Amino acid sequence: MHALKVLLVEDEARIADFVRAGLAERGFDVETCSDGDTGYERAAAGGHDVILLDIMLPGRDGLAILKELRAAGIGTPVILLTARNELGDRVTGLNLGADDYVAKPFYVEELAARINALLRRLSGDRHSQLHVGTLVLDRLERQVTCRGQAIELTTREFNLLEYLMRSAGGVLTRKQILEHVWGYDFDPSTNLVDVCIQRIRRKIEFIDPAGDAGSPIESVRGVGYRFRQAP
Amino acid sequence: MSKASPSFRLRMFLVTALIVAAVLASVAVVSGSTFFAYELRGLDSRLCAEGRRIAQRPPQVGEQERFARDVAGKLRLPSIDQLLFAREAGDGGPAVRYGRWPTDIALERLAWSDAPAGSLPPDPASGNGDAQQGCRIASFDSGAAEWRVARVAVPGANGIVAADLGAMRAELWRALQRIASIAAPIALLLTGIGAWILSGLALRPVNRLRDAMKSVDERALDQRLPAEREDREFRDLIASYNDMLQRLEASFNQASRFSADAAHELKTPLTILRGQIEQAIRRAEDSELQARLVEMLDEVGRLASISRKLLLLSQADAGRLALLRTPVDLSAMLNDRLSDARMLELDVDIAADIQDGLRLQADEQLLGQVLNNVLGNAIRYTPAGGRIEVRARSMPAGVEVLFSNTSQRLSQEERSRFFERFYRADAARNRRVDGHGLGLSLSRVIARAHGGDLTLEPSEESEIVLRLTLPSSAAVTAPLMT
Repeated sequence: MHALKVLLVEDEARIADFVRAGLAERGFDVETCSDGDTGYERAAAGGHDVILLDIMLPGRDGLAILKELRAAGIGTPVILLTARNELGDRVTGLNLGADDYVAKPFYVEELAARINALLRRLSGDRHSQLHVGTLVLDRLERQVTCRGQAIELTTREFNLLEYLMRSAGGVLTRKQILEHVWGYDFDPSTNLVDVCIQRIRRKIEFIDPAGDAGSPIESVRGVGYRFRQAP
Repeated sequence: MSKASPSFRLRMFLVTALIVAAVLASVAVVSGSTFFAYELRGLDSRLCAEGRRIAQRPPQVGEQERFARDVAGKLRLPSIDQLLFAREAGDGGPAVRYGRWPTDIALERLAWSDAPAGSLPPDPASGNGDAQQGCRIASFDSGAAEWRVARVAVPGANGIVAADLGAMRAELWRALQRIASIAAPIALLLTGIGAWILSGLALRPVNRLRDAMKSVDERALDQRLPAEREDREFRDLIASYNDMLQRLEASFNQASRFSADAAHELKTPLTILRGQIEQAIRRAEDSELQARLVEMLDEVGRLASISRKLLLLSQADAGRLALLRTPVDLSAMLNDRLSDARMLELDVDIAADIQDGLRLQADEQLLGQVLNNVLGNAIRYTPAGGRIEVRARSMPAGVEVLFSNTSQRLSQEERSRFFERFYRADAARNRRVDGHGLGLSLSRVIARAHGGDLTLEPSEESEIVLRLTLPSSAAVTAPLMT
């Protein structure tokens, strides 16, 4: 499987640096450019799986690039990285044909998840099943099986488990999980995530009692949670 | 218009009516006195004529009564009681004295003046037109009556005739009353119509101004009222109003732009911080360091959340909160959050009565934030053993959701500051609780941007009831896009 090619158009060098590094660590092949005109040329040249567009750019701004790409019939998926006038740009951007948007400040983890989700969505159900360890998660059926036995999960539990399984091997903080699964600013109690994870663990253990390796969802003290990479 | 001050139109009418009444009264006084003077001259002339008659042809004894009636008729007196006459004889002719002459009047002492020229007609008896036999006129008072007296000297005798002016005055008064009874209602009517039309004319530009001002609200502070077509006086008023509007707009924009700019300027450093801390966590080997970094990352998250809320609030304040409306299942959104709350297994009774299939056109993310804030608040602030209740139902105009929860006692002051930004009722007592006092304020502006509202309902002191209303249709205030 070839590395996914990402074009990042972002004028703030320090942001471009860690996004490139973060995405590269997660297996993406990232090309960056720092102004709108070059960005448009590269994007128009094609060959990318996804384009990440900052909105405020020297030269053409992100929305202009998007508009011209779509006008030229180039349908490469676009995710907007919005900072300016956040929601206004979100609405305009989605109307102009952006496929998703990620508001600054974002987690690279979240950005990677969104890129993957977008590409999955666009490629149909090729990757609808997720296998990690003894667990199989089917996005389309919204079903999780462990050793062939179905596990009943609520919507939240399902989304949380999917997020963990997709980032298998990586640590997710409670806040990251909260933001991804519950959305902005839902923080009735910091242990909402812990409670939800406990419930998922219990449901998995009911079918597959944790052996020597322990639960597939591992607590990382002081940090958060990690889904064990398949051995 | 307040109840205390009557309407401008009424005041206009009263003032105009007062002026018209004053004019009418002064016209009446002037014309009355002119008329009286004119009548008096006529009377003087008749008195002189009768005086001469008495002097020249005194009535015989026994004829005096008939003579008096004749004289009274000539003088147009209604009764002979209002007539006095006398003849002072120097030539041996009969001296006559008729009527109740007051005893205390000394005729010689009266202020006599010559009758105006022409008041004495030519004397037909003397046959001598230019023989100006002197007729002198005086006035005197007797008791309540005012008398006019003429004394005509003919050779050998003086004829004296006096008439009571009361009759003339009464007649004049009656005439004035007659005129007033016809003129006053007409004048009043005309005044009323005139005042109504005038005040209408005066109010027309004011009304136009008022309508134009009404159309100016915080969403359209950049509007200015057109002044060209108005009268000069109103052009000044409009110019002052436009000036005021401009200052208001400037300071409003400045305030709103300040927090928008601040939020935006914070975004880049926050993005960099978050990205680099995240990277550092992935690379850190030491779990102690990782835990520290996660704490930092969480604080960056708090900062990001505050700046995001400030940005949304400032956009809403400027009327530029952009909504991405899609069909939204409010019932499902509420049920999801309620099951989250139940999952926490708090020592709180959670009751729900959510009507199924409440759908509306709304910005799902922003509406979700409203529900998160309101329910999150309820969960945070409900003490152990308390109760949270959520009821949602469709209304003719849209959807109504009532959130009630037990709370610590909330004073009136705390209630009135409930939606205030950065205000936390429990700041002093409950540090444990997290939040930055922007959530409810933001929730309300989001509800309002959707054409609905979020209000704190009156309730017992130890209960909080929030009412969220949202119109079902998309036919509400369209977001102003920039």
